[in-house]
Amino acid sequence: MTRSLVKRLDSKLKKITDHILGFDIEERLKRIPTPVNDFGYDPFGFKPESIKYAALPAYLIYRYYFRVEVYGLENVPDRNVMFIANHAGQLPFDGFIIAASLLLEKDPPRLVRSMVEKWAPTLPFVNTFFSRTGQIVGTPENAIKLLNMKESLLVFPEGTKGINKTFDKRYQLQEFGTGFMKIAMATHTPIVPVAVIGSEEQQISFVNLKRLGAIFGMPGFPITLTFPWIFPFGILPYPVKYRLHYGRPMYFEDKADTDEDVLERNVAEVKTTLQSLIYKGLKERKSIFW
Amino acid sequence: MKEYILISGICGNFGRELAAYLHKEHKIIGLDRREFNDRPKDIIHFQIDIRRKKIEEIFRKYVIKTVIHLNIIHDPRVSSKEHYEFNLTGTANILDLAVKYRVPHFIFLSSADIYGPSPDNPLFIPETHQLYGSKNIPILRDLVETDLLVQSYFWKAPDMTTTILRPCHIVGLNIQNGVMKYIKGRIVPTVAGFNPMIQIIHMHDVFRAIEMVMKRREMGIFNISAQDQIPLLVLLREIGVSHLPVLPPFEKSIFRGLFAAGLISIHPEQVDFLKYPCMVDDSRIRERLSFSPQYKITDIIKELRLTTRL
Repeated sequence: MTRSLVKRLDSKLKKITDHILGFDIEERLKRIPTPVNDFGYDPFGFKPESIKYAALPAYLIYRYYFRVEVYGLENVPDRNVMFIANHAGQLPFDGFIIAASLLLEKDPPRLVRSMVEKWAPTLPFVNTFFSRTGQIVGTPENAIKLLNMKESLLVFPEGTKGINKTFDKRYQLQEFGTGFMKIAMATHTPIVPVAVIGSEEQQISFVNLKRLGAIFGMPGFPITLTFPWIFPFGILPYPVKYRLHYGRPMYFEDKADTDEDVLERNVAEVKTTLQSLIYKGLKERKSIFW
Repeated sequence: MKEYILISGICGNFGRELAAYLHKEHKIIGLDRREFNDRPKDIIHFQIDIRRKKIEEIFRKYVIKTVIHLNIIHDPRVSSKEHYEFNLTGTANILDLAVKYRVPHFIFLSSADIYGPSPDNPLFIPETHQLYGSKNIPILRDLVETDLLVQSYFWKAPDMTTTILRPCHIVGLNIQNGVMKYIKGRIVPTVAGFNPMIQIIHMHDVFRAIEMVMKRREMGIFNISAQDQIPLLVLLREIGVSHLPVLPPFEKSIFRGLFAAGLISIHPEQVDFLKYPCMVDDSRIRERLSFSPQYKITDIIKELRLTTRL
């Protein structure tokens, strides 16, 4: 009885989703080139079918709230790839938008994986949600394994310094770590820079109270135009228009004698390319909100 | 002169099955403090505790080409003192004798459990990873130390080929290890909100790995993994086992009560195995020995369905 009710609800939801999206979501998810076992799971616990329930709300936010425009999607190679993007906005909607663009607009669709904090698997239910939607715990071994499996990985080398940056530093890339470059070179993975335009205005932050954030176990505590004044909704993004610019893939040769200088030079090259892509994107846009 | 394989712990279900698998092609000597019922006639058995000096007679009398050391206690209801004494003293005794009598190859069946389940584990743990098993699960301490003891013979006895195998959860029709007791238990507890990916391997695949390592006399540490990974709850559902989800954050206390009442076989300290992954990366054995498990997860599930109905 319960099972048949769930089945009916599921098929109804699928019909509505397909109607609004304008394509068959299940068919699209099946085309994600991630090998799965007889039960529909990849080795990391990702189950493409799980995404179908999130597809409709994700599409509505993507299409009607942020009204995303994507450029250069043809630059994304159909192989293992690492996306390097600028990070901002206090909440990681930039990651969500990049993932949605690759899933909804690219053909064949790609599911980009991102690295979650090491405490995420300790949260009941949340850990399963992350795992089933393809997110993995941020260890170098996981990233290497994933890229060797020809998957795609999204990295924000600015980390918390990026997401928590104040408004006066918008679109200025913060310090990059070298870890992503080591992994990309070791796995012969091309890097595709992604300039995210819009995310850096989704919250106007004046100051980041790191010590106060530490009390709550957060990487920072932003004081923005709306947060914490309209708590907790004030942290939600303003309806800015997102524009994504995918750059050309960058290839770095792996040499056994790679030293820190080479790594840093390569990282600087990626950072400069991404910064130029950001400036180009900013120059081309007409307005923050439309 | 005949050359023998000495299997310590031969009377356990795994040891008996392994002996049955190997005895047609190899001469087998069994060593165990337990009696070997229904022993095939061509297997010689010594009912002696491996901690005793008396086992030296076996080494003196027979030419042993390989020792396969399985004689490890891992029973959460046995005291840690007994664990320590038996596992460490016994392993040290048999290792020293293997060195003294110039046994060419020593194979130790360790376990992937000693890496320990943890939220920050790499999802596929390589052999080079630290053995954190006893960090949160003190009852694993003796197993970690036994593995480290065997590792020390890589340099203590460079003339002897020492191999450590660390398989993921071994299952099979007659196996009576922790994972089999868990799924065959009267109550199968899980932790609500957690559904880690797990690896299970069929015992016959482990036998093949042991045989391959033995034939190639390959030294070092090798993880042995399954062909596939599967979420714990999917595994339980597929083999037709209903489970009892225990609410976090009270899972340890509830497990303690159920364990004390004898209702579950899993020790409260082991609850993290039901929350976090502890899976291994087997690329080393795949690359060095071209070994890959033959049993598909669906075949194993079919067999487990039969087991749980017995």
